[in-house]
Amino acid sequence: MDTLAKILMIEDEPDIRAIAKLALEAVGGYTVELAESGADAIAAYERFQPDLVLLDVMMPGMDGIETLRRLRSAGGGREPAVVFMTAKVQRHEIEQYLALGALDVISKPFDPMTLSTVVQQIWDRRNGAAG
Amino acid sequence: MAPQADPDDSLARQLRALRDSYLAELPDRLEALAVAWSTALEGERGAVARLRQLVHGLAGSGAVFGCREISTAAAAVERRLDELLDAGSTSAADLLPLAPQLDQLASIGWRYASNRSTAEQTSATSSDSSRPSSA
Repeated sequence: MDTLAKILMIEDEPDIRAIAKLALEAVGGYTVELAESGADAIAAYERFQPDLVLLDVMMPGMDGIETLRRLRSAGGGREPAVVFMTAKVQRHEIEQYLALGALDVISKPFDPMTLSTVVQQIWDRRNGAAG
Repeated sequence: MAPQADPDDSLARQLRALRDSYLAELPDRLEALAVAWSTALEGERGAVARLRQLVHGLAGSGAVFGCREISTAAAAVERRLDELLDAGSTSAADLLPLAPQLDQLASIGWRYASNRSTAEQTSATSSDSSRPSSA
């Protein structure tokens, strides 16, 4: 089973970036890199080669859905493992994100103390499904 | 031998520091919100989108930092703004019914911000006598 070690978080809100990084590193023990926009995320994705991407949906400029499309191109055929993070979690919205290829959706606001557990569960489920 | 630092204490301390930082910046966000609201009412291009972005930020971050009321109030404004933007209805007449909800959001925000200031002053005045010696 693949191990989840490196996470790229793409989020325009600095406060949320900071607390998510702290929670994921201190509680989950992951290595986390941050990007503040979709445009920044492409370079970070190619350089950092994360196992998993946490992707904010609503960002100014390039939104999360467009960012996912660009990440696919940047990955050279490697399908990025993406989890959307959004406050818009009505059933039809979640179905839309999953149809786009997201592994799952994490509802915002999230609990910093359980974020790592939720992320790990999504990762384990993905590996279980793939294995 | 020096005592080992408790990782849970360290995490809690860092989370508190981030929350303090969030609350310290809250007045600036609320001021920006007020400016965006005024300019939106004046019909300035892009002001409604700016207002929406600010409200969206408050909705997403408030509860993460233990300020759930901010998130709830901001999310309600965000939903209404989305409806107006989707409908292309962003004139002053369309926006004005949002005023009470924005007032409520600002009141909640300022309450959190002022409580933080009060807590900080109390902490500053009592810290010298209450802090255990680490020497």
